[in-house]
Amino acid sequence: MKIICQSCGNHKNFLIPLWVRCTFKFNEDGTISILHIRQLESLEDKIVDQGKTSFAITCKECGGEARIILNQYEHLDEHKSQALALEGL
Amino acid sequence: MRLLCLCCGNRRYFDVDIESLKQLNSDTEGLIIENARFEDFDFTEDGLRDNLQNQVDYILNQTSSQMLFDSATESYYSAIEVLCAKCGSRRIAIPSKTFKKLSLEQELEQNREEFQNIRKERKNHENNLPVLWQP
Repeated sequence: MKIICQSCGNHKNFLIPLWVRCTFKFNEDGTISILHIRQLESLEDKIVDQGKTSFAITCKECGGEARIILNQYEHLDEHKSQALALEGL
Repeated sequence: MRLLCLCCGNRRYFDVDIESLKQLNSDTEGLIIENARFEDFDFTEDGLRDNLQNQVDYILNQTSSQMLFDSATESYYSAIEVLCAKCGSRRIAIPSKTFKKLSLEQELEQNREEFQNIRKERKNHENNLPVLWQP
């Protein structure tokens, strides 16, 4: 799997929005303290569902939209299968 | 008291759903998820705190038209996803939003005496202004 920024070509650092459930308490002085944070979304599901949902993984460097290539060797397999088909003929 | 659970009476511990931003590092070893750090600050941590504060402020500043009315307790509770951390109930009221069922005229009439007292205090204050220094 490979993630590439469509604008600058960065393939290392990206930003991803994730929903969390935050447990907090009100202090006596009116401030808020965070007690616990629970992740509500699965990262794996979110990456696989990229394109189906409205969320977007963005490049950390330029803010551009990133593209996820789940199988970067897919095109090689295609060439191989085509070559095998030609040999068969 | 800022929020109140109508089911268990909890006034202190609540859950709220907020969006946070994480950093995804694509490496030869795979994907690593961690806090988004820029040069001098932790964006994930700051963002989480800001979003929580904003969400709580938004809940507290809702008008009655944005909230749902609970006839049993005669109070309004938030329609936004805020949960009681103790019992999991979604019926979280804002105690300051428990409006009295009085017309404006009745309310003014009821508070007339208190208002007049304030006026008297102001007049007294006006009459007792400090004497300015004179040569």
